[in-house]
Amino acid sequence: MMINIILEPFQYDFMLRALFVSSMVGIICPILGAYVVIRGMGFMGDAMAHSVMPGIVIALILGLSSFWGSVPMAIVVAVSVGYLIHKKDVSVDTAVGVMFAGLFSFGLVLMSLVGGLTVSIEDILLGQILGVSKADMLISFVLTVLVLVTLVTFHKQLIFSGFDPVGSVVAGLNAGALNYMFLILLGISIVVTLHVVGVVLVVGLLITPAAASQMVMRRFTRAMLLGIIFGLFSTISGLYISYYFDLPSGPVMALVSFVIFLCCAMYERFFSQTQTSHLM
Amino acid sequence: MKKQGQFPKLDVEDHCLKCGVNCICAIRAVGACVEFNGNLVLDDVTFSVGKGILSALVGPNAGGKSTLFNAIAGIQDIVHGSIFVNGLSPKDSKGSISYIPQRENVNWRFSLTAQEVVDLGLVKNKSLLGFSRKGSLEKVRSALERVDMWNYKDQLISEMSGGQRQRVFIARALCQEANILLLDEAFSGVDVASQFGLIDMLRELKDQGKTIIIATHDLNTLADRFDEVICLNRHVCAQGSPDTAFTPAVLEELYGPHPGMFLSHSLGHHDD
Repeated sequence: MMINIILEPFQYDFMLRALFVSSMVGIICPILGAYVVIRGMGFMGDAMAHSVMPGIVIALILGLSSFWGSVPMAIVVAVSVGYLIHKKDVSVDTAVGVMFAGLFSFGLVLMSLVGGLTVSIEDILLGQILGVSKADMLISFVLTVLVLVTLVTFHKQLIFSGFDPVGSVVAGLNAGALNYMFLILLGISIVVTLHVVGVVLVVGLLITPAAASQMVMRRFTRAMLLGIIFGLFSTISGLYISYYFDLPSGPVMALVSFVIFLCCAMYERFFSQTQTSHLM
Repeated sequence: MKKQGQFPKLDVEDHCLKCGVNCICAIRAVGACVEFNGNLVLDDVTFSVGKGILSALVGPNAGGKSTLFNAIAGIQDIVHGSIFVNGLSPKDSKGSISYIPQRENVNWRFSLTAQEVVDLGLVKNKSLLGFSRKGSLEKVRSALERVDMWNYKDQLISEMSGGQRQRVFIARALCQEANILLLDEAFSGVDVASQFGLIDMLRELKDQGKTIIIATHDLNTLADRFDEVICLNRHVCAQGSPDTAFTPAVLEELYGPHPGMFLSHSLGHHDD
């Protein structure tokens, strides 16, 4: 009986593809999110997701997979934000806010002007996990592996530059290059996540599992691993719930993630000694 | 205050006042100037620090101590003059300096243990994929033992006292195998007993050949533990032994018309 409940959704190919991409997102988001939360860049993730909108629309106009527009757009946005921050003495929030509003508006206007696209605005904003093609699945996998390998390679450097920015530069690290690399990885991860939860709810999977795990786990690396468990649980259970209750999958995943966060907040409040004031 | 453009852009390589032509000083600054937004925050700074010397860089808040450290470390450009680190330009000598930052410049949200922080000192020596080379753990252990912090290796640095944090950062510098240590406001938030413990430990390190400069606005009772002091208030007002450097004229130049505050205040009296 139980095994039937678990296996039934996956008699359909589109559900198998959805499960695969959701799992990628469940792994990649909490890892990137751990750095995002601890560096106080939560707004960055949300804004970058909105900023790739023109890329998605242009790819759809050309009849391509949205990846072909969103990946280059994410890299352009990441480099632009990095440039504004490092070269123009603009604060992170201001730089990201300007890019966010401008590019998202441009995407919406472009979509209205063209019209007749195969994908609706709702799909872009809330995700289209059940419409993931085999090509999308493959691209998601390649991008996820690329991000994970890069993060594992530069894990210590990213921690050093985030923990002690001046000391790391004096020690010989290239903080500027590390920051650009981090922003590009963040952009790529957001692009993969867009297919699952859409533009609006990316931040729900990016920072919520990471923030929840850091509430109950003191050490950074361990919290990152716990975040992966929370992320996978959010995406996979969200997929099941949406299947059996005929609900939109993206919002359900984000909601599960939020419930986990609330549980962790209560656990931290009543049972844990972990100091998490920085998350609030 | 001099403005940008008043100095010719020249590399000044005068003979070292201590060593002469064949300078073997760890750090030498000759007429170094740094400007922010057209205003000089370091003005014609000239001094030298020999190898294996423990120095205090003393001056008021906003006197340019951190800026001078940044210039020595090669992360702040100078608009005039020269700075040499082991005879090289600061940018060519990265890695030979370890910078121990002010506590407000550290992101304490990173929940790292003492061992993890010290391990960061090896980050330039890591093999591909970030895995430690053989012997890294031994280096970390040795560094923590040298600062008497091995027993605290699993404790989060964010939950340590000010003195313990400084020791962990010093252990990181030892792991980095830097021969010059720059400590910015090292005594800020450190209780008196720990300050003495810290300075004694630094004296041991300088006896082993490390060149150490500690920036502080609050030298007080620790003065006699240093080999020399450099008094800085945008320019070097004096350099010499603690006994001779603090003349009334120098104190007035450092702290204005009320230098008595400096002479009589108690530790922790000033804000950071």
